[in-house]
Amino acid sequence: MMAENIRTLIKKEELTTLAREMEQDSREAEAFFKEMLNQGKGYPDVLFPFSVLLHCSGRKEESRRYMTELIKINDHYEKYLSAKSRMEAGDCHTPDKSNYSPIRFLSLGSQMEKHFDVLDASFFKGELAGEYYLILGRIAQTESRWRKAFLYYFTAYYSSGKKSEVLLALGQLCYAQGELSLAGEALREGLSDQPEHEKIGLELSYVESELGHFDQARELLHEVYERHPDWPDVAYRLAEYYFSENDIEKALEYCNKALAVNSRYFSANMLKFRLLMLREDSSLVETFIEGIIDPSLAGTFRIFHAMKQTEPVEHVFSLLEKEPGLKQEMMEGLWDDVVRTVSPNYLKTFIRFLQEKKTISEEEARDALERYIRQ
Amino acid sequence: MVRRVIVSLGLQTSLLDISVINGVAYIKGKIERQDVAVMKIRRDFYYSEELIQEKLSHEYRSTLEALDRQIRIMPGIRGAVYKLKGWERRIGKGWVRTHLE
Repeated sequence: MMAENIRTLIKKEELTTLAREMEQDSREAEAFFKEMLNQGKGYPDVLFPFSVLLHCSGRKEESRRYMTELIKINDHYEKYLSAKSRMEAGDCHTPDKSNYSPIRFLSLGSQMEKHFDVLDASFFKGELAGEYYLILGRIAQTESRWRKAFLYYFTAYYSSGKKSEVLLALGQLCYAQGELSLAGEALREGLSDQPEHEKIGLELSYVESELGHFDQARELLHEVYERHPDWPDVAYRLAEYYFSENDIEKALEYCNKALAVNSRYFSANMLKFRLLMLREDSSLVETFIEGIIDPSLAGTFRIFHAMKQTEPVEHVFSLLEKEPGLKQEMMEGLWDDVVRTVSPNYLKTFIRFLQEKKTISEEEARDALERYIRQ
Repeated sequence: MVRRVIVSLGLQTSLLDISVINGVAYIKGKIERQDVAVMKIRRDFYYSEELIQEKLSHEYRSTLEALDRQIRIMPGIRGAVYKLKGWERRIGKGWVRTHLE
Protein backbone atom coordinates (compact mmCIF):
# COMPACT_ATOMS: atom_id res chain seq x y z
CA MET A 1 0.00 0.00 0.00
CA MET A 2 1.12 3.49 -0.85
CA ALA A 3 0.14 4.83 2.56
CA GLU A 4 2.59 2.43 4.20
CA ASN A 5 5.27 3.50 1.78
CA ILE A 6 5.23 7.03 2.98
CA ARG A 7 3.25 7.32 6.22
CA THR A 8 5.54 5.01 8.14
CA LEU A 9 8.08 6.92 10.21
CA ILE A 10 11.60 6.88 8.80
CA LYS A 11 14.04 4.58 10.60
CA LYS A 12 17.75 5.25 10.98
CA GLU A 13 18.61 1.88 9.36
CA GLU A 14 16.64 2.82 6.26
CA LEU A 15 18.81 5.88 5.79
CA THR A 16 22.05 3.97 6.25
CA THR A 17 20.86 1.35 3.75
CA LEU A 18 19.94 4.12 1.33
CA ALA A 19 23.39 5.67 1.69
CA ARG A 20 24.95 2.27 0.93
CA GLU A 21 22.81 1.77 -2.18
CA MET A 22 23.22 5.31 -3.44
CA GLU A 23 26.28 4.64 -5.56
CA GLN A 24 24.65 1.74 -7.36
CA ASP A 25 21.41 3.71 -7.86
CA SER A 26 23.45 6.57 -9.23
CA ARG A 27 25.21 4.30 -11.73
CA GLU A 28 21.88 2.89 -12.90
CA ALA A 29 20.40 6.38 -13.24
CA GLU A 30 23.44 7.45 -15.23
CA ALA A 31 23.05 4.49 -17.59
CA PHE A 32 19.40 5.43 -18.00
CA PHE A 33 20.13 9.01 -19.06
CA LYS A 34 23.07 7.93 -21.18
CA GLU A 35 20.76 5.63 -23.10
CA MET A 36 18.40 8.54 -23.66
CA LEU A 37 21.28 10.61 -25.01
CA ASN A 38 22.30 7.70 -27.23
CA GLN A 39 18.81 7.81 -28.68
CA GLY A 40 19.43 11.42 -29.61
CA LYS A 41 17.24 12.77 -26.84
CA GLY A 42 19.56 15.55 -25.81
CA TYR A 43 16.77 17.60 -24.28
CA PRO A 44 17.29 19.86 -21.27
CA ASP A 45 15.38 17.45 -19.01
CA VAL A 46 17.91 14.76 -19.90
CA LEU A 47 21.07 16.87 -20.01
CA PHE A 48 20.41 18.52 -16.68
CA PRO A 49 20.01 15.37 -14.54
CA PHE A 50 22.82 13.64 -16.41
CA SER A 51 25.16 16.51 -15.70
CA VAL A 52 24.15 16.64 -12.01
CA LEU A 53 24.64 12.87 -11.67
CA LEU A 54 28.12 13.12 -13.15
CA HIS A 55 28.99 16.05 -10.92
CA CYS A 56 27.90 14.28 -7.74
CA SER A 57 29.78 11.14 -8.81
CA GLY A 58 32.97 13.18 -8.96
CA ARG A 59 33.31 13.46 -12.75
CA LYS A 60 33.38 17.22 -12.72
CA GLU A 61 34.92 17.77 -16.18
CA GLU A 62 32.42 15.56 -17.97
CA SER A 63 29.61 17.11 -15.97
CA ARG A 64 30.62 20.63 -16.95
CA ARG A 65 30.72 19.62 -20.61
CA TYR A 66 27.08 18.50 -20.55
CA MET A 67 26.06 21.54 -18.54
CA THR A 68 27.68 23.81 -21.13
CA GLU A 69 25.78 21.93 -23.84
CA LEU A 70 22.58 22.49 -21.89
CA ILE A 71 23.20 26.20 -21.43
CA LYS A 72 23.72 26.45 -25.20
CA ILE A 73 20.15 25.17 -25.67
CA ASN A 74 18.62 27.15 -22.84
CA ASP A 75 20.54 30.07 -21.42
CA HIS A 76 17.69 31.85 -19.67
CA TYR A 77 16.53 29.31 -17.10
CA GLU A 78 17.68 30.37 -13.66
CA LYS A 79 17.87 26.78 -12.42
CA TYR A 80 20.44 25.80 -15.06
CA LEU A 81 22.52 28.95 -14.71
CA SER A 82 22.62 28.62 -10.96
CA ALA A 83 23.59 24.92 -11.22
CA LYS A 84 26.41 25.83 -13.60
CA SER A 85 27.88 28.42 -11.25
CA ARG A 86 27.51 26.05 -8.29
CA MET A 87 29.37 23.37 -10.23
CA GLU A 88 32.14 25.81 -10.94
CA ALA A 89 32.27 26.92 -7.31
CA GLY A 90 32.30 23.31 -6.07
CA ASP A 91 29.11 23.68 -4.05
CA CYS A 92 28.81 21.14 -1.26
CA HIS A 93 27.56 23.14 1.69
CA THR A 94 24.49 22.30 3.63
CA PRO A 95 22.16 25.24 4.11
CA ASP A 96 22.32 26.84 7.51
CA LYS A 97 20.14 24.73 9.78
CA SER A 98 18.41 27.81 11.13
CA ASN A 99 17.26 28.71 7.61
CA TYR A 100 15.35 25.48 7.09
CA SER A 101 11.66 26.01 6.66
CA PRO A 102 10.24 22.94 8.39
CA ILE A 103 7.94 20.66 6.40
CA ARG A 104 4.72 19.92 8.27
CA PHE A 105 3.64 17.26 5.78
CA LEU A 106 4.03 13.89 7.53
CA SER A 107 6.11 15.75 10.16
CA LEU A 108 9.09 15.58 7.81
CA GLY A 109 10.65 18.60 9.49
CA SER A 110 10.80 16.90 12.86
CA GLN A 111 11.81 13.60 11.26
CA MET A 112 14.77 15.41 9.76
CA GLU A 113 15.69 16.88 13.13
CA LYS A 114 15.59 13.40 14.61
CA HIS A 115 17.86 11.90 11.96
CA PHE A 116 20.14 14.86 11.44
CA ASP A 117 23.25 13.07 12.62
CA VAL A 118 22.92 10.10 10.31
CA LEU A 119 21.97 12.38 7.40
CA ASP A 120 24.94 14.59 8.13
CA ALA A 121 27.29 11.62 8.18
CA SER A 122 25.99 9.80 5.12
CA PHE A 123 24.74 12.22 2.47
CA PHE A 124 26.01 15.05 0.28
CA LYS A 125 25.00 18.57 1.06
CA GLY A 126 24.12 21.60 -0.99
CA GLU A 127 21.65 22.56 -3.71
CA LEU A 128 23.19 20.29 -6.34
CA ALA A 129 23.03 17.39 -3.91
CA GLY A 130 19.35 18.22 -3.42
CA GLU A 131 18.85 17.97 -7.20
CA TYR A 132 20.83 14.73 -7.20
CA TYR A 133 18.54 13.07 -4.64
CA LEU A 134 15.44 14.34 -6.40
CA ILE A 135 16.72 12.71 -9.61
CA LEU A 136 17.43 9.40 -7.84
CA GLY A 137 13.98 9.60 -6.27
CA ARG A 138 12.29 10.09 -9.63
CA ILE A 139 14.16 7.15 -11.10
CA ALA A 140 13.11 4.98 -8.13
CA GLN A 141 9.54 6.17 -8.69
CA THR A 142 9.53 5.05 -12.35
CA GLU A 143 10.57 1.61 -11.10
CA SER A 144 7.72 1.59 -8.55
CA ARG A 145 10.17 1.58 -5.67
CA TRP A 146 7.96 3.94 -3.73
CA ARG A 147 9.61 3.81 -0.33
CA LYS A 148 13.00 4.41 -1.84
CA ALA A 149 11.66 7.34 -3.85
CA PHE A 150 10.17 8.78 -0.69
CA LEU A 151 13.46 8.41 1.20
CA TYR A 152 15.40 10.10 -1.57
CA TYR A 153 12.97 13.03 -1.57
CA PHE A 154 13.38 13.28 2.19
CA THR A 155 17.14 13.29 1.75
CA ALA A 156 16.82 16.01 -0.91
CA TYR A 157 15.09 18.12 1.72
CA TYR A 158 17.96 17.59 4.15
CA SER A 159 20.59 18.36 1.53
CA SER A 160 19.14 21.53 0.10
CA GLY A 161 16.29 22.66 2.34
CA LYS A 162 14.30 23.20 -0.87
CA LYS A 163 10.93 22.72 0.68
CA SER A 164 8.67 23.46 -2.27
CA GLU A 165 10.59 21.28 -4.75
CA VAL A 166 10.50 18.37 -2.32
CA LEU A 167 6.81 18.84 -1.61
CA LEU A 168 6.11 18.92 -5.36
CA ALA A 169 7.96 15.63 -5.79
CA LEU A 170 6.12 14.10 -2.83
CA GLY A 171 2.79 15.38 -4.13
CA GLN A 172 3.46 13.78 -7.51
CA LEU A 173 4.52 10.54 -5.83
CA CYS A 174 1.23 10.42 -3.92
CA TYR A 175 -0.84 11.42 -6.97
CA ALA A 176 0.67 8.66 -9.12
CA GLN A 177 -0.43 6.18 -6.49
CA GLY A 178 -3.94 7.53 -6.17
CA GLU A 179 -3.34 8.96 -2.68
CA LEU A 180 -5.16 12.15 -3.50
CA SER A 181 -5.67 13.52 0.02
CA LEU A 182 -1.98 13.13 0.80
CA ALA A 183 -1.04 14.63 -2.57
CA GLY A 184 -3.30 17.60 -1.80
CA GLU A 185 -1.70 18.08 1.63
CA ALA A 186 1.83 18.07 0.23
CA LEU A 187 1.07 20.38 -2.69
CA ARG A 188 -0.94 22.87 -0.65
CA GLU A 189 1.94 23.21 1.77
CA GLY A 190 4.35 23.58 -1.14
CA LEU A 191 2.23 26.29 -2.70
CA SER A 192 1.86 28.21 0.55
CA ASP A 193 5.65 28.13 0.82
CA GLN A 194 6.12 29.40 -2.72
CA PRO A 195 2.86 30.81 -4.11
CA GLU A 196 4.40 31.72 -7.47
CA HIS A 197 5.53 28.12 -8.16
CA GLU A 198 3.29 27.39 -11.15
CA LYS A 199 4.26 23.72 -11.44
CA ILE A 200 2.86 23.15 -7.95
CA GLY A 201 -0.20 25.25 -8.80
CA LEU A 202 -0.87 23.17 -11.91
CA GLU A 203 -0.31 19.85 -10.19
CA LEU A 204 -2.55 20.91 -7.32
CA SER A 205 -5.27 21.94 -9.76
CA TYR A 206 -5.43 18.33 -11.02
CA VAL A 207 -5.58 17.00 -7.48
CA GLU A 208 -8.24 19.49 -6.31
CA SER A 209 -10.31 18.66 -9.36
CA GLU A 210 -10.17 14.93 -8.62
CA LEU A 211 -11.03 15.60 -5.01
CA GLY A 212 -14.15 17.40 -6.25
CA HIS A 213 -12.88 20.86 -5.21
CA PHE A 214 -13.67 22.42 -8.57
CA ASP A 215 -13.71 26.05 -7.45
CA GLN A 216 -10.23 25.75 -5.97
CA ALA A 217 -8.99 24.00 -9.11
CA ARG A 218 -10.37 26.73 -11.32
CA GLU A 219 -8.94 29.46 -9.13
CA LEU A 220 -5.50 27.87 -9.33
CA LEU A 221 -5.75 27.63 -13.10
CA HIS A 222 -6.71 31.30 -13.34
CA GLU A 223 -3.68 32.23 -11.25
CA VAL A 224 -1.37 30.20 -13.50
CA TYR A 225 -3.06 31.57 -16.62
CA GLU A 226 -2.49 35.15 -15.46
CA ARG A 227 1.24 34.50 -15.46
CA HIS A 228 1.30 32.19 -18.48
CA PRO A 229 -1.30 33.13 -21.08
CA ASP A 230 0.92 31.27 -23.53
CA TRP A 231 0.23 27.87 -21.92
CA PRO A 232 -2.60 26.52 -24.06
CA ASP A 233 -3.43 23.57 -21.83
CA VAL A 234 -4.23 25.91 -18.93
CA ALA A 235 -6.59 27.96 -21.12
CA TYR A 236 -8.15 24.75 -22.41
CA ARG A 237 -8.74 23.39 -18.91
CA LEU A 238 -10.46 26.65 -17.98
CA ALA A 239 -12.64 26.21 -21.06
CA GLU A 240 -13.58 22.73 -19.83
CA TYR A 241 -14.61 24.14 -16.45
CA TYR A 242 -16.85 26.78 -18.03
CA PHE A 243 -18.31 24.17 -20.37
CA SER A 244 -19.18 21.93 -17.40
CA GLU A 245 -21.03 24.92 -15.91
CA ASN A 246 -22.81 25.50 -19.21
CA ASP A 247 -21.19 28.89 -19.67
CA ILE A 248 -20.80 28.51 -23.42
CA GLU A 249 -19.49 32.01 -24.09
CA LYS A 250 -16.72 31.80 -21.49
CA ALA A 251 -15.85 28.26 -22.59
CA LEU A 252 -15.55 29.50 -26.15
CA GLU A 253 -13.44 32.44 -25.07
CA TYR A 254 -10.88 30.17 -23.38
CA CYS A 255 -10.97 27.64 -26.22
CA ASN A 256 -10.08 30.47 -28.58
CA LYS A 257 -7.26 31.54 -26.27
CA ALA A 258 -5.84 27.99 -26.30
CA LEU A 259 -6.17 27.76 -30.08
CA ALA A 260 -4.58 31.16 -30.58
CA VAL A 261 -1.40 29.70 -29.08
CA ASN A 262 -1.69 26.27 -30.69
CA SER A 263 -4.15 25.99 -33.56
CA ARG A 264 -3.54 22.21 -33.81
CA TYR A 265 -4.63 21.63 -30.22
CA PHE A 266 -6.87 18.57 -30.67
CA SER A 267 -8.91 18.81 -27.44
CA ALA A 268 -9.54 22.53 -27.89
CA ASN A 269 -10.71 21.93 -31.47
CA MET A 270 -13.01 19.14 -30.30
CA LEU A 271 -14.55 21.30 -27.61
CA LYS A 272 -14.86 24.36 -29.81
CA PHE A 273 -16.71 22.33 -32.43
CA ARG A 274 -19.27 21.24 -29.85
CA LEU A 275 -19.64 24.74 -28.49
CA LEU A 276 -20.27 26.14 -31.95
CA MET A 277 -22.76 23.40 -32.76
CA LEU A 278 -24.69 24.44 -29.65
CA ARG A 279 -24.76 28.05 -30.82
CA GLU A 280 -26.83 27.18 -33.89
CA ASP A 281 -24.84 29.51 -36.15
CA SER A 282 -23.99 27.57 -39.27
CA SER A 283 -21.64 30.16 -40.77
CA LEU A 284 -19.48 30.18 -37.63
CA VAL A 285 -19.14 26.39 -37.76
CA GLU A 286 -18.23 26.51 -41.46
CA THR A 287 -15.55 29.16 -40.92
CA PHE A 288 -14.15 27.18 -38.01
CA ILE A 289 -13.97 23.94 -40.04
CA GLU A 290 -12.31 25.72 -42.96
CA GLY A 291 -9.57 26.90 -40.61
CA ILE A 292 -8.69 23.49 -39.16
CA ILE A 293 -5.28 22.26 -40.26
CA ASP A 294 -5.82 18.53 -39.58
CA PRO A 295 -7.76 17.27 -42.64
CA SER A 296 -9.15 14.22 -40.83
CA LEU A 297 -10.53 16.31 -37.97
CA ALA A 298 -12.00 18.83 -40.40
CA GLY A 299 -13.51 15.92 -42.39
CA THR A 300 -15.15 14.50 -39.28
CA PHE A 301 -16.62 17.84 -38.25
CA ARG A 302 -17.84 18.46 -41.79
CA ILE A 303 -19.88 15.26 -41.66
CA PHE A 304 -21.73 16.21 -38.49
CA HIS A 305 -22.25 19.75 -39.65
CA ALA A 306 -23.68 18.52 -42.97
CA MET A 307 -26.04 16.22 -41.05
CA LYS A 308 -27.18 19.07 -38.88
CA GLN A 309 -27.78 21.18 -41.96
CA THR A 310 -29.85 18.26 -43.35
CA GLU A 311 -27.77 18.11 -46.51
CA PRO A 312 -28.65 15.31 -48.96
CA VAL A 313 -27.84 11.92 -47.45
CA GLU A 314 -25.84 10.95 -50.57
CA HIS A 315 -23.51 13.86 -49.94
CA VAL A 316 -23.05 13.02 -46.24
CA PHE A 317 -22.46 9.39 -47.23
CA SER A 318 -19.65 10.41 -49.60
CA LEU A 319 -18.06 12.46 -46.80
CA LEU A 320 -18.36 9.53 -44.40
CA GLU A 321 -16.57 7.24 -46.84
CA LYS A 322 -13.53 9.50 -46.59
CA GLU A 323 -13.29 8.93 -42.83
CA PRO A 324 -13.24 5.13 -42.46
CA GLY A 325 -12.58 5.08 -38.70
CA LEU A 326 -15.52 7.29 -37.84
CA LYS A 327 -18.23 4.69 -38.35
CA GLN A 328 -16.81 2.49 -35.61
CA GLU A 329 -16.48 5.44 -33.23
CA MET A 330 -20.11 6.33 -33.91
CA MET A 331 -21.24 2.74 -33.35
CA GLU A 332 -19.43 2.79 -30.01
CA GLY A 333 -21.46 5.87 -29.07
CA LEU A 334 -18.44 8.15 -28.92
CA TRP A 335 -20.15 10.90 -30.95
CA ASP A 336 -23.59 10.60 -29.37
CA ASP A 337 -23.61 14.14 -28.00
CA VAL A 338 -22.99 15.53 -31.49
CA VAL A 339 -25.30 13.10 -33.28
CA ARG A 340 -28.12 14.13 -30.96
CA THR A 341 -27.91 17.71 -32.20
CA VAL A 342 -29.16 16.41 -35.60
CA SER A 343 -32.91 16.28 -36.30
CA PRO A 344 -34.40 12.82 -35.53
CA ASN A 345 -36.21 12.68 -38.88
CA TYR A 346 -33.00 13.29 -40.77
CA LEU A 347 -31.19 10.68 -38.68
CA LYS A 348 -33.88 8.12 -39.39
CA THR A 349 -33.55 8.66 -43.15
CA PHE A 350 -29.76 8.61 -42.95
CA ILE A 351 -29.62 5.38 -40.91
CA ARG A 352 -31.96 3.65 -43.41
CA PHE A 353 -29.79 4.95 -46.27
CA LEU A 354 -26.64 3.51 -44.65
CA GLN A 355 -28.43 0.19 -44.27
CA GLU A 356 -29.48 0.20 -47.94
CA LYS A 357 -25.88 0.91 -48.92
CA LYS A 358 -24.83 -2.01 -46.69
CA THR A 359 -22.52 0.28 -44.72
CA ILE A 360 -24.25 -0.94 -41.60
CA SER A 361 -26.10 -4.19 -40.95
CA GLU A 362 -29.80 -4.48 -40.19
CA GLU A 363 -28.98 -5.08 -36.55
CA GLU A 364 -26.70 -2.03 -36.41
CA ALA A 365 -29.43 0.09 -38.00
CA ARG A 366 -31.95 -1.18 -35.43
CA ASP A 367 -29.54 -0.36 -32.59
CA ALA A 368 -28.88 3.12 -33.97
CA LEU A 369 -32.60 3.86 -34.35
CA GLU A 370 -33.18 2.61 -30.83
CA ARG A 371 -30.42 4.78 -29.49
CA TYR A 372 -31.14 8.05 -31.25
CA ILE A 373 -34.82 8.00 -32.15
CA ARG A 374 -36.89 5.85 -29.79
CA GLN A 375 -35.77 7.02 -26.38
CA MET B 1 -8.79 10.80 -13.44
CA VAL B 2 -7.73 9.85 -16.97
CA ARG B 3 -4.53 11.83 -16.48
CA ARG B 4 -3.85 10.01 -13.21
CA VAL B 5 -4.09 6.61 -14.94
CA ILE B 6 -1.68 7.84 -17.59
CA VAL B 7 0.73 9.08 -14.92
CA SER B 8 0.48 5.85 -12.93
CA LEU B 9 1.33 3.84 -16.04
CA GLY B 10 4.53 5.84 -16.39
CA LEU B 11 3.54 7.51 -19.66
CA GLN B 12 4.79 10.98 -20.47
CA THR B 13 1.81 13.32 -20.07
CA SER B 14 3.70 16.14 -21.75
CA LEU B 15 3.51 14.23 -25.04
CA LEU B 16 -0.23 13.68 -24.83
CA ASP B 17 -3.29 15.82 -25.33
CA ILE B 18 -5.83 14.47 -22.84
CA SER B 19 -9.43 15.55 -22.38
CA VAL B 20 -12.85 14.29 -21.46
CA ILE B 21 -15.80 15.82 -23.28
CA ASN B 22 -19.35 14.67 -22.57
CA GLY B 23 -18.15 11.38 -21.09
CA VAL B 24 -15.72 10.48 -23.87
CA ALA B 25 -11.98 10.49 -23.24
CA TYR B 26 -9.80 11.84 -26.04
CA ILE B 27 -6.14 10.93 -26.01
CA LYS B 28 -3.95 12.17 -28.79
CA GLY B 29 -0.19 12.30 -29.20
CA LYS B 30 2.75 10.04 -28.61
CA ILE B 31 2.93 7.13 -26.21
CA GLU B 32 6.30 7.10 -24.53
CA ARG B 33 7.60 5.57 -21.36
CA GLN B 34 10.87 6.82 -19.99
CA ASP B 35 11.61 4.27 -17.35
CA VAL B 36 14.30 1.83 -16.47
CA ALA B 37 12.44 -1.18 -17.92
CA VAL B 38 12.28 0.40 -21.37
CA MET B 39 15.90 1.55 -21.24
CA LYS B 40 16.95 -1.90 -20.07
CA ILE B 41 15.39 -3.46 -23.17
CA ARG B 42 17.44 -1.11 -25.33
CA ARG B 43 20.60 -1.97 -23.43
CA ASP B 44 20.07 -5.72 -23.17
CA PHE B 45 19.20 -6.21 -26.83
CA TYR B 46 21.53 -3.59 -28.30
CA TYR B 47 22.75 -6.16 -30.86
CA SER B 48 19.39 -6.42 -32.62
CA GLU B 49 17.11 -3.50 -33.47
CA GLU B 50 14.47 -6.01 -34.53
CA LEU B 51 14.49 -7.61 -31.10
CA ILE B 52 14.38 -4.22 -29.39
CA GLN B 53 11.32 -3.22 -31.39
CA GLU B 54 9.64 -6.56 -30.69
CA LYS B 55 10.20 -6.25 -26.94
CA LEU B 56 9.23 -2.58 -26.90
CA SER B 57 6.04 -3.32 -28.83
CA HIS B 58 5.15 -5.93 -26.26
CA GLU B 59 5.79 -3.49 -23.38
CA TYR B 60 3.80 -0.69 -24.97
CA ARG B 61 0.96 -2.99 -25.98
CA SER B 62 0.55 -4.11 -22.36
CA THR B 63 0.60 -0.48 -21.22
CA LEU B 64 -2.02 0.51 -23.79
CA GLU B 65 -4.24 -2.42 -22.86
CA ALA B 66 -4.02 -1.43 -19.20
CA LEU B 67 -4.78 2.18 -20.11
CA ASP B 68 -7.85 1.31 -22.13
CA ARG B 69 -9.08 -1.17 -19.51
CA GLN B 70 -8.75 1.36 -16.71
CA ILE B 71 -10.34 4.20 -18.65
CA ARG B 72 -13.36 2.12 -19.63
CA ILE B 73 -14.20 1.24 -16.03
CA MET B 74 -14.05 4.85 -14.85
CA PRO B 75 -17.34 6.24 -13.64
CA GLY B 76 -18.83 8.69 -16.11
CA ILE B 77 -16.69 7.55 -19.05
CA ARG B 78 -18.53 5.98 -21.97
CA GLY B 79 -15.51 5.28 -24.10
CA ALA B 80 -12.29 6.61 -25.48
CA VAL B 81 -11.01 7.97 -28.77
CA TYR B 82 -7.30 7.41 -29.32
CA LYS B 83 -5.19 9.18 -31.93
CA LEU B 84 -1.79 7.84 -31.07
CA LYS B 85 1.31 8.09 -33.18
CA GLY B 86 2.29 4.64 -34.38
CA TRP B 87 -0.58 2.82 -32.69
CA GLU B 88 -4.18 1.96 -33.56
CA ARG B 89 -6.84 0.10 -31.65
CA ARG B 90 -8.58 -2.24 -34.08
CA ILE B 91 -11.72 -4.20 -33.47
CA GLY B 92 -10.95 -7.82 -32.73
CA LYS B 93 -7.20 -7.24 -32.94
CA GLY B 94 -6.55 -4.92 -30.02
CA TRP B 95 -3.60 -2.57 -30.24
CA VAL B 96 -1.70 -2.73 -33.49
CA ARG B 97 1.56 -0.97 -34.14
CA THR B 98 1.29 0.92 -37.41
CA HIS B 99 4.92 1.93 -37.66
CA LEU B 100 8.08 1.53 -35.65
CA GLU B 101 9.77 4.24 -33.59
